[in-house]
Amino acid sequence: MATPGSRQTMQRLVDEHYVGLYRYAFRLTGSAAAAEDLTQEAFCKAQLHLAQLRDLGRAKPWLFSILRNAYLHRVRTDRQQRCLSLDAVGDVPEPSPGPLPEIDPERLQQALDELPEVFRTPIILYYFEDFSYRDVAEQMDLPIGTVMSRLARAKAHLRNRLGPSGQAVSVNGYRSREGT
Amino acid sequence: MDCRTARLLLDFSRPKAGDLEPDDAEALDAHLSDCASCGEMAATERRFDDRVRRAMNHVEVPADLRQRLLDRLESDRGDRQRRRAGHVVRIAALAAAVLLVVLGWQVWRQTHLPQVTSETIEASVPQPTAAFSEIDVRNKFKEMGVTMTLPPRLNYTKLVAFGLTDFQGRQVPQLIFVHDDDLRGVHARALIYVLSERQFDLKNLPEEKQFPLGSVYKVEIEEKKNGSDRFIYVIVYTGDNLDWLRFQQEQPT
Repeated sequence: MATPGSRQTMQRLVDEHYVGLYRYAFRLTGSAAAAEDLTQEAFCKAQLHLAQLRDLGRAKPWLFSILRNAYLHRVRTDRQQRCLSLDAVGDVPEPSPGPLPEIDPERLQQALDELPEVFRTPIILYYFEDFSYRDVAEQMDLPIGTVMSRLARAKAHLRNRLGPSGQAVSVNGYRSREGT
Repeated sequence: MDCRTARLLLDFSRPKAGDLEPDDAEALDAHLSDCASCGEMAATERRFDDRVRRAMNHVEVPADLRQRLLDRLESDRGDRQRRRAGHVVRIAALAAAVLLVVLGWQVWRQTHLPQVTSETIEASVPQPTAAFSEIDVRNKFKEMGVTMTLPPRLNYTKLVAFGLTDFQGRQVPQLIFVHDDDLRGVHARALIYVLSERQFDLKNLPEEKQFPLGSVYKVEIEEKKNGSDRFIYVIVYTGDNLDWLRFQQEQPT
């Protein structure tokens, strides 16, 4: 239905999804400049391959998938990025009862930056754009069980980092992406 | 619903995502309102999720981002159209160049066609040879630009014509001999093609062969070196033999 270079279709896609894509890109990269670059790249690629989009109702997962692929392409060339080892994420703790303070968005970003991409993407999608487990699984081309397992471990990491004892993760838990 | 199932389903209990079937969602809600322990756990979980969701969404979107995105898309579209136009121009230029070469070649060919003159006609037509000797024939071929060694021991009094003829797409010397002996009732003729090793692959020459119409096809090979060249004489003739054509010994020239 969409034709390549269709200006109206692209404008509609931008209007409906640029905010969500930019926020997703920001949470993936942790930087406003990188998020804007990534969002622009995703829309340019979408424009180039617009003919592949058969159903405008599926535009959201399609665009998010394009953005994630663009991000992964960049990350593969970025050897300096640091992230947390899968083993360091640990098991899922029981949620602690009682009142919890608001979460500082910057602290959240730090905690997200520590996660490997395979954990970070599902947790962002889970909280951020209300993707179902099935949607996240399709985005990442993974079985739903794997997605749930990763989400549980990523949430555990966020609890550890954002809870009252949030500074508890040892620097020994870090290793460069090059080594993973 | 028991506590174990309820805690299992808790992870799927997000109204917007629609991971739970409506019946399961209803049963879960009923259990959470009845079970204080599970209800407290669910409330804590949801409070945590709400806080993370709020923080996650707390991303300031640049005010002019939408316009910058649209501008970038427009520019990208223009770049692609320019690149596509560039391709078209390059292909058109290449086609024009090829066309020019073809037209030029045709014009050159038409202005450089071989001229038909009395000399070229004379060179092309087999020469009447009643008075030609072997030396005359050799010299005549030299005038045509053909350097070769003529077949040895031929009776040139029987030569009726010679010249260049087409043989498998190449111009080769040809000699035509005729023998009429009315008294004995013998009427024979022989065609000789002189082939050079420079013009043909002569490694697999055929043996003597009888043609269906009664001619005899015979190949004679003579190692007549002219520089580094070697000549082969292909003789096609009618009649029983070539005794009338050949002398037994070399004739003085």
